[in-house]
Amino acid sequence: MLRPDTSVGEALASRGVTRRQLVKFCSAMLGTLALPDRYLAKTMAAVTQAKKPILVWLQFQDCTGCSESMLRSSHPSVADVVLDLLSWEYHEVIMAGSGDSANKILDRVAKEEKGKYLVVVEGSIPMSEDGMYCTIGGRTALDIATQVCSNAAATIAVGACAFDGGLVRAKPNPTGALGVHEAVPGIKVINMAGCPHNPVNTAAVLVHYLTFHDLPDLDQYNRPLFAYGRVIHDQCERRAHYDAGRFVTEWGDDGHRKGWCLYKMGCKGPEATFNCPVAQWNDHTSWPIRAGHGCIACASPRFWDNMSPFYQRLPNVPGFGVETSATNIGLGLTGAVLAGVTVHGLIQMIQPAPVTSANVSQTGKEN
Amino acid sequence: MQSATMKIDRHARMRVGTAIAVYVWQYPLRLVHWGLVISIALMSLTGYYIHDPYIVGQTRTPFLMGTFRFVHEVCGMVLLALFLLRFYLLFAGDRWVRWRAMLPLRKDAWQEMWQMIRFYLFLRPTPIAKVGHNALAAMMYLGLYCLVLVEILTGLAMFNWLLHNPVLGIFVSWIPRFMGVQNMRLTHYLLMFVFISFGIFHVHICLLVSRTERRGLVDSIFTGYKVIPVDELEEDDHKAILTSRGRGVAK
Repeated sequence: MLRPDTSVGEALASRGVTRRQLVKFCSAMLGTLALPDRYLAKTMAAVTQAKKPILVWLQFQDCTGCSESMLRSSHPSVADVVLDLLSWEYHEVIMAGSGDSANKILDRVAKEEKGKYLVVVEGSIPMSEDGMYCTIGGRTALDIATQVCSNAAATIAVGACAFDGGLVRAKPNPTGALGVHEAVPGIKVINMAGCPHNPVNTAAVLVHYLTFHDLPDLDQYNRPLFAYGRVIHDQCERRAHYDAGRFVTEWGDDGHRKGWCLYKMGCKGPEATFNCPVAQWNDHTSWPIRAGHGCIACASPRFWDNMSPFYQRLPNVPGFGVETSATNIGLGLTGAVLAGVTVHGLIQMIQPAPVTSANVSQTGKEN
Repeated sequence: MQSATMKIDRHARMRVGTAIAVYVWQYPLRLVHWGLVISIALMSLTGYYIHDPYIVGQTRTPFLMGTFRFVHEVCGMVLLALFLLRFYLLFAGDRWVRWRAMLPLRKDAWQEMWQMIRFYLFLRPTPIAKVGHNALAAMMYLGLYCLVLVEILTGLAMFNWLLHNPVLGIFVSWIPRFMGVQNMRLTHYLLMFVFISFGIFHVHICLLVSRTERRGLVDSIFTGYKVIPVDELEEDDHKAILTSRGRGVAK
């Protein structure tokens, strides 16, 4: 095992990562960060020379999907570089240690490396019943997160659950789950929303941190602008079909086979902001819309509640049944008004023409 | 004598004294009115298609959604301009379209509203005849303009969702944060039906009141002129002078 103070360059060399692979990796990261290629030398230098920062990876109410997404990156350079960029001291899925010795490592990092290490959080933090819904080694998730995150240089919340509670927080949210930045306020946090997070973006944030010693620019939800600043609809490869009025109207119909726009099937591409169509998944193989399924806006805030029903354009109107669409309500209103004025007009017509005493007296006055 | 005329003509004749054709609705106000009618009609047609594209995959319409969105957005900008013009008229228009005429400020305004509601419920034979809007109509139009503002703001928020203009963002970026991007779209869509319903209701009420008060109400939105009996016009003038004098004293 390598010493924690090994430089990244040495670590990569010992893993057999060539300079050519490293240049490719750094170029990909620059592309993701939307930085010009003049930063390549600086990024290369930072990635090879930096002392490896210590990273701990906490998992709370999660499905390990974000860890899987990070580790299952089959492209050799990305996986190797990302794993070797940092000194991974604690990660429940992949670490060798267990039990007391594992807990001691976490404790040691939080105490001895105060303000110098990075922490990645995966999963939401339950707040109900004093947080008893998620405990590790007898400590609640909130307790661990408060200690580890507030002593870290920065917290990276990966996935929808760590961002804002995700699936766990969806109605009725039995565990009172919250995202990290809500459960532990006041910490320096960057949210890598998405279900799961895109490992390319998370790697880019790490490279940005190594190169510039700071986090990239963030939006109002603390998500990095380079990844969450643009609407999916505007980057979508099926946008031309949308503008031309070519839509899938039924799963498996002719338009679906031809790869037409999924707008009518409830695709949330026009609502969602993410670089999914550009970064894509599984080493740039595909992404949901290319695979023929509409976007569900998994990187948007509270997406389970806000973006459902996933296969309809608009949400259900509160107070009406789930089968009542906004169109039915609107047409009902219009029809009721039309019927109302018709009846009102008919009643008015059978009324005698108005000759009031006021009119008569007025007439009399004039005379 | 009255009853004799009625028997001959079936419909009652109404002596309204010496009447004067008054230029009540100034040209910019009529422009706003017909501009709203046309732009809202076009936006309802295109907007429904944008919500539910019912024409699919036609080869002879190669840029259908793009065209409809373009028309919708241009009409939206026209609506914004008309709204701003109407807002300007609140402070710079003739006395029947100024803010004082639109708000229930007069002491008898609430009584007037109640009397109008009684008229619509057939509890009163004639509407309250006014030179400009009656208090209930003024309230309805004020409410309509508030809804138009909601429609404009949600529309601009959707426009800026793709445009990312920081200046426009100052005005509209709080909306998706406040209600969520989906509820914003839902509001924008549902209000369309409110406007269509308002249109139906509005035409009905205008025909009804015009038929009952016989002052060329429907005609006035084309020509600007309403036929007003002299004594009522004098009363209206008198009130306007009192109001302006009161304002002078206050200053």
